[in-house]
Amino acid sequence: MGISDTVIQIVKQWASMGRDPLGTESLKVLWAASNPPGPFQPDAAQDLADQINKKFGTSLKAADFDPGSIKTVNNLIKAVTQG
Amino acid sequence: MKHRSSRCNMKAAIFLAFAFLICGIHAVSQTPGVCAQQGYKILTPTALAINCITSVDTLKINGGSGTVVLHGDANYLQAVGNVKVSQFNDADLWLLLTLSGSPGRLEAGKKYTVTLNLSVTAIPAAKPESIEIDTTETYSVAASIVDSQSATHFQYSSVVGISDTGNALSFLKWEDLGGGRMRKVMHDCNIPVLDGENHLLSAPAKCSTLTTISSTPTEDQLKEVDPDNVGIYNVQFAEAPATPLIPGTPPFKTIFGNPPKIDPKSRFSPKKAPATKDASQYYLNLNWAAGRGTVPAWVLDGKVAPTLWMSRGFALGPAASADVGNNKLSGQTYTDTIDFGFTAQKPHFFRDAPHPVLGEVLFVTGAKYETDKEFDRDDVLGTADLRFNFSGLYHTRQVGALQRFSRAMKQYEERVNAGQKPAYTPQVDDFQPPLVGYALDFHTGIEAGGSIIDTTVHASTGKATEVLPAYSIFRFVPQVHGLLEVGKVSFDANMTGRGLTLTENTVLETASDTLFLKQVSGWKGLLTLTNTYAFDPQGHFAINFIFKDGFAPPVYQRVNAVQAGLLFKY
Repeated sequence: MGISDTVIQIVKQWASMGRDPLGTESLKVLWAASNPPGPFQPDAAQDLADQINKKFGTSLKAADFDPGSIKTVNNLIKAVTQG
Repeated sequence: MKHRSSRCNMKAAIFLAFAFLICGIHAVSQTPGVCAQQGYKILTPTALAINCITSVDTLKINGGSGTVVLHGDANYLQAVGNVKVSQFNDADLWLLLTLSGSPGRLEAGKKYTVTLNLSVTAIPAAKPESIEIDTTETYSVAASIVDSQSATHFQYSSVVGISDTGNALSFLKWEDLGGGRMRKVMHDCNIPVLDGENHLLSAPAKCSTLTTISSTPTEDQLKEVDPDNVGIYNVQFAEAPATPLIPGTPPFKTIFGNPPKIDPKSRFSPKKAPATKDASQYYLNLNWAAGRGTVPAWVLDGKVAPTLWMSRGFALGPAASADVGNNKLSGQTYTDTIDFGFTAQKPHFFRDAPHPVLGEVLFVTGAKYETDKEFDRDDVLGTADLRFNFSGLYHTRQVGALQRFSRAMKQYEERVNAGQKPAYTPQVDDFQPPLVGYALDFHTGIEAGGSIIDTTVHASTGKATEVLPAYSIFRFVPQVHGLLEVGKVSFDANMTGRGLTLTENTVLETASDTLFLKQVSGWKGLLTLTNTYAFDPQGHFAINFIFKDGFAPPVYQRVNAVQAGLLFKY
């Protein structure tokens, strides 16, 4: 799978979604919509950062996510090519 | 080749295609056969990639055809060739467009319109779509979107592909690490930059290593490309720029064989401070305190816990916290605790079961040096804590507001996909949070270590001293944390118990500034209740009351008082 496809599948599983997330969708909103057991920051953001780091060898941290600059799925795809 | 006789028909077709684009595509995001495009990349002079918002498989697009038209001046249009639409092998959000015919090639610095007729599996073809293509070879340079790296990491980006050789497509190279893992390949390089006085400098950095394909790639070779890796080039400076630097000519060409033009506004700029308090990882709260039998005094409650790095799912970083003040009487309003150390934390979410009772466990471990504000205690502790979050017990007002927005967006999408045109697009800020929000979590933990040496404790006033003998520490630390939000008022309660399995020593100070040694064992509890009232809906201005009752290590002096403070957030 390519970068976009892989990131989308990771976010889909992370937010327990039944469909693929759109690139413009907010990660925080996707997390809230999943009836989360805990907060987006730092727990869920760290979990997502860890999954992305494992897959792409990046060095993302929870603080990079909303209210940091990574707010949407597209932001995350961009971060993978940069991080 | 000019087609002046068919110019009017072509313009009409383009107009209609634009109308479909504006009226249809932006509103219908997941309609089968319609690629609501959110970008494009120029792979070669004869190949393009179109980025759809939704996956091509979901849209049931299985191919298609089209035409490319060059825009000259207002009275000049030129057919460039035909388009074949196909899919990439590993990039499901992208469509591959290959050009043929005469001349069948794009040129640099031009504007084109691509009109597509996409074919769709099992349903009639959708209406034609039009896409504007600009082949201007301008590259912008921006700091990485990853905040923790934005001081040194920058990226050149453009819709026009990069070429290492000047005649073939190059793109980011990834190294396969096995097990589905991969990593970008970088190499040492020097990047030309201009300082504020126009002096040409060379900045040491690591640059993207690129993969280059054939200068005349086949369609099958193009299908292997991931367009997300096209048109971008990463630079990681060895040192963060101290002043804004103007990017010089980068070490690559465009796929048209020309040196790239750099957006004149682009800079390698020093990192800015976090824009908001929430974006920072430092907390400082200064309160005025009052309690029974005490003099009003100040209390400093601060915490520093930045994450420095991530390893194996653990976020590691230093941790420092202080809850100190200047009050010296028995009814002190602060716990007189200062901690230095490091923590490592890792969350685990239970997603395998459809409706898990236990939704999350957060494991936090670390080591800390625990003392008081006089630094006459020396406890060294290893800590481990498990926080249990059960399903259904985390529904803050913010989560409620985001869920309302999410539901509204879903209804909006359904209406749009049914062919309706809703009057407005929902925005997050349109939705008020519910009146009530809540959160409840439970902890179990241990603290083990000891007071490593005998120390001499000094009275806060006068010359009294008392020797505090060394002792060992092993504590069980259960904890319950609850949050109740009702409108602008929130109540945050934290109940911490400490079961001291070993007898600990402490030196207490009386109101008359005398000291005495006391041995502490059994259970010691501490209740912290924080009540906050926000004056405005945005929470810019708030007043908070903190009630503390109980005993906290290492002093274990009774705390029973109220603090009040004001909170400004802008």
